[in-house]
Amino acid sequence: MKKLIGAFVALAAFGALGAYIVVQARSIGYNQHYQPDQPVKFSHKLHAGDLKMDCQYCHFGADQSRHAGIPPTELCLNCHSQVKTNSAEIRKIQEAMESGENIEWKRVNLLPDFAYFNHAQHVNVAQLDCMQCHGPVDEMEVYWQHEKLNMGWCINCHRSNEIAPPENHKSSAGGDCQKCHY
Amino acid sequence: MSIDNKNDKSCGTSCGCGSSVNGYWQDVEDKTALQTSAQEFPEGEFDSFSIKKDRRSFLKIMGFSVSALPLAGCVKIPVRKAIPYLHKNDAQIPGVANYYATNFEGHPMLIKAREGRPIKAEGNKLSTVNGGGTNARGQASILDLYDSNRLRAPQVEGKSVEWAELDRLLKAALTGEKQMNRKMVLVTKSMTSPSELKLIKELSSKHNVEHIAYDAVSMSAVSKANEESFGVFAPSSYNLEEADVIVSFGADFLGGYGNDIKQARGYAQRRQPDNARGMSKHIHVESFMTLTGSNADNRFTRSEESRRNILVNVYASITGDSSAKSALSEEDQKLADFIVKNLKDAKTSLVLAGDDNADIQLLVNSINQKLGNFGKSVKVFKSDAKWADDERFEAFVKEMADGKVGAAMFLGTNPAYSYHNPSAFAQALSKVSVRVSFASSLDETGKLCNFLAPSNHAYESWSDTLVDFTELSFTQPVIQALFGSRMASETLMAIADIEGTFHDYMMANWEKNLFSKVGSGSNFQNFWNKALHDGVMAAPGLAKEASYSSVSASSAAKNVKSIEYGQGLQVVTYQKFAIGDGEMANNPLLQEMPDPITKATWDNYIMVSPVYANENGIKSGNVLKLEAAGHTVTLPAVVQPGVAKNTVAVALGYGRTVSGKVGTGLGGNAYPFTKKEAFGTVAKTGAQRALALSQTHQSMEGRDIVRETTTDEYNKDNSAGNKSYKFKQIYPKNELLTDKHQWAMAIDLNTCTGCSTCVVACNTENNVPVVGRTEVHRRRDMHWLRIDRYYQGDEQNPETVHMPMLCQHCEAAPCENVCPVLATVHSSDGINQQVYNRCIGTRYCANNCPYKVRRFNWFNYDHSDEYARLALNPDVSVRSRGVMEKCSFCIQRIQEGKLKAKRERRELRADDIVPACAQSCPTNGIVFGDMNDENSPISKLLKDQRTYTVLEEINTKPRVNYMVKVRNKTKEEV
Repeated sequence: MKKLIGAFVALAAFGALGAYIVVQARSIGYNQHYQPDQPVKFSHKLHAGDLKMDCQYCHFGADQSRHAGIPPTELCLNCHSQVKTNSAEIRKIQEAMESGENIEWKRVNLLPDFAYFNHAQHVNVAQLDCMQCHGPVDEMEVYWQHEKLNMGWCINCHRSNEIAPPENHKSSAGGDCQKCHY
Repeated sequence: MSIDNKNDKSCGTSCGCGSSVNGYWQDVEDKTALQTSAQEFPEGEFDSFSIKKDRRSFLKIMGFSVSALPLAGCVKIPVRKAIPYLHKNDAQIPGVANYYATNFEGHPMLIKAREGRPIKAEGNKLSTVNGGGTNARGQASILDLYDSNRLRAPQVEGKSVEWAELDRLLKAALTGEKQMNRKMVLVTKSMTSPSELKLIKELSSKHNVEHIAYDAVSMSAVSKANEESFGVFAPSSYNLEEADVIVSFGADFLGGYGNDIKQARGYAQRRQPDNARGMSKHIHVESFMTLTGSNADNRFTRSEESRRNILVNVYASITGDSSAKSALSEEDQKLADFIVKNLKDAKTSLVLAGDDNADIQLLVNSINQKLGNFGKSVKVFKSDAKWADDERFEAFVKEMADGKVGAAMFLGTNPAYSYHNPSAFAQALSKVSVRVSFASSLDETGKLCNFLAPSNHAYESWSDTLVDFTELSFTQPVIQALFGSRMASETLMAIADIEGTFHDYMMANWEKNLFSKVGSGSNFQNFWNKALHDGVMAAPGLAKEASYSSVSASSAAKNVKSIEYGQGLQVVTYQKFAIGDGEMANNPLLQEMPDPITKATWDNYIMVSPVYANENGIKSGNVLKLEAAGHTVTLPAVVQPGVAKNTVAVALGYGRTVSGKVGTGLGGNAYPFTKKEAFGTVAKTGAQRALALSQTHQSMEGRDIVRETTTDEYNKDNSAGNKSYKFKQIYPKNELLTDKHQWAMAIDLNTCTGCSTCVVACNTENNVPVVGRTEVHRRRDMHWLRIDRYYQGDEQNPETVHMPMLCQHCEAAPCENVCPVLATVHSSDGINQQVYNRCIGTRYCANNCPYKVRRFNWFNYDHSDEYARLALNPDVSVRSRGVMEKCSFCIQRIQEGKLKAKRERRELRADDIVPACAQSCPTNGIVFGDMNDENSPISKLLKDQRTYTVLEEINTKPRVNYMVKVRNKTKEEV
């Protein structure tokens, strides 16, 4: 009996390990919930949440380009030449501007090289809300990756949603390989 | 149409069907291939896979990989930095391309830049001369900009110095020469820039510097003839669209003779049989096969001597100068009569000759004058431009040798390589004490100079260029100087003690002097902004058409008849379409572009006629020693149909001794053969050098891959030569083609000249790797788009067809059925998609492709050069080893065009999407678009009766369509 229980435990442990391996292996490289410390303690919660600033005030590329972009450092000073000029964090911005040595942010959302993604396509044409993919940014003190950003996640949306097309345009999101891979 | 299998002779060389069973080899090339097959994979390429195969290491590796799996799950990918701009340029949005108008080698260009780095060169569509067309060198020019071989700093006596130091030392040296009353000379290329010419004039008046223009391959003889006929020392400007009949005596006007882009564009305008003004007739007489000759309706192979005698007789008949008439062989007389008849029947015609001989050019002028062609198909303009003068340069070399010259400066010229006697030039130059080279990388002339003042690439420079006497094109920098170089104009300004930058100098010149001549409006700043934005503008004020003054050409005819021809083989030289005069020899894209005629890459060679080869037992690949004009080159032979029996042809632009890691040591220098008539002998050395050919199978195997007809047939029936197949559809209809846009392409075989500019355009747009000579020889070239060239008829004078071949995007694609991993599938808008990240490299698809257009990455091709990699297109993946690739119809451009239309909330227009090949084409031979759009140019072409698809009989339903080639020939001529 003892032997049987032992064997059962061993089997269960082996199975659990296997399940763990499979679960972990499937998320390799996806980086969901990645939340690195950034060189400047910038709070999306404060700017996008409390102050209700428009995302595209800083990430202006989202409307026109494939990249939403990290805003140029001088853009911070549009406000911060007046606001909170004595804060230690703002001081870092000023230093960067003075020295010419720019701040090196840590990149959070990262797609593989063989996948082409275009922000303008989704933000401008499809009129998606930023938070649909980037999650509750207005609550994030430190920004983190909300979705897996894997192909399955992309495809789910492309398959299920008839994108509300802008006038003159009747087209769905499209599932052809070369919408993204070229 | 008859398809001739007779010409399948060179098939035996290495078509792949000549198998090498049990080590037997069919011919020399096959044999060399066998010997090298042992080194098929470079050493070290697969080292990472080699493991010791004992039990312990097996367990080690297995144990590692099992335990690594869960570990990998806990590891985050390495931190990647994202660094924004500190200050952002208002015009720049990361990820969005900017376009800047500029100029390269006298051709108006439009440069695409991403995040401030140029990645693609296009023609400037606003140009009325070139109309947005480009050539191979223009397409490849971006790579020259990023050439890491460029000099990093100025040098004096072999030591790197600061620019200020160079200025100081150079000025001191020049002042010394001035005091000794020795001559100072500035040698440039032919120069049309008003501002640069003004600067040189200022320099001349200050320091008494003489300006001499020298071109490696010059139009000096044409200029000289025009000096006699028009009183203007300048080359002619040809308008081929005006000519009903074009007769060329060896002038390669689609290749190395004159403005190739403008001429190809004009030529193609009249090459369509439905043209309102009628299709032009092109008669070509030449001693070897050139690109232009291969496009002619009636091409004739003649030796240089009989070609010239025919020209003299044509001159005699047209102008009535009976003293010039001489007895010709029966065949030649017939040809002369044929030419005269065609010329006399035509309303407007054009006669050209390729000879660097003023007497011959004078005859041509007389003929064109008599036929009333001046002012129509050919024009001569008077301008301030400085044109290459070979006689002045010869005299200058003699002055140097006599020790009369104290300072010689070389701007954009490399005579130590391109002069017909390099050693004499080097010796003469050694007697000059101040020798200045402005070349941006070290070349043969720079090596002999004690002052090196590396100049900027055109895309880092300011200038203004008079294009074809009628249009002004601005050169403006697209990027800051990458390598610490400085514009040559600014070095000249420093010598002439002119303060400021050349930009300010040029702008001031425009404001003060030129604005009133060519400008419009009253505000200079507005004019200037528009000029730089457009890059080109009409400039009628800068050149005036000259009028013909009657000159007798009788003595010229006599001189031509008394040209002395030597014994043995006549050596003729020519420029390859890609390499040209050899200035860009260090550009790998150009080296790997297959020659339009021989399909050879990475080499020059001795073109031998099949008759001579037969008689002397010469085969392609035999290394020959060619001795002529006191010069010897040792090069492989190419047995080339269409070469006159006692003629051998060698391309210029090779045999560079000081170039870069690509250009140095390739082929042999043929410039020594350019000094008048070179006669000599060839001898087999016994060695072999297998050529790296991109096309080794010459036969269509009896299938009507290329369809053609003649104008007579075509006028009777517009579908002449276009047989349609009636068969049962066995494949079901492709249900996937649901999108409202359906992409298709049409390629007109009548306007395609085979120049291969599209090949280079495709390479740069799609990050297609350069694989090198050895790999091309193993048929692993990666070109997504190739030009197949087929001959038919007489071997001595074959008819040639050029056919661009790319992925046909078949609706019933054979490649898709055989892929085990669905890496190649069809899209809803009709594109045969290749998905790199799915591909596992079985290569079944390539085997099953009837068009052989798929390319396999046998290796990770080198993109490690930190500068060259800046030229990569960031919107296209760089493929890695083991992946299949092929033409994607420039899917990135399709996506971009669609997105642009959607962002602007409008329907897609036909000009929103232009693939790289179509955009680069100077003749507009490739048209791409949406065949579901009734009004698009493509849907009109698809309804044309000339349109067909290749291998229609196998029912793959290609989306790439071709249009039957129509030759302007009457029944009798056939």
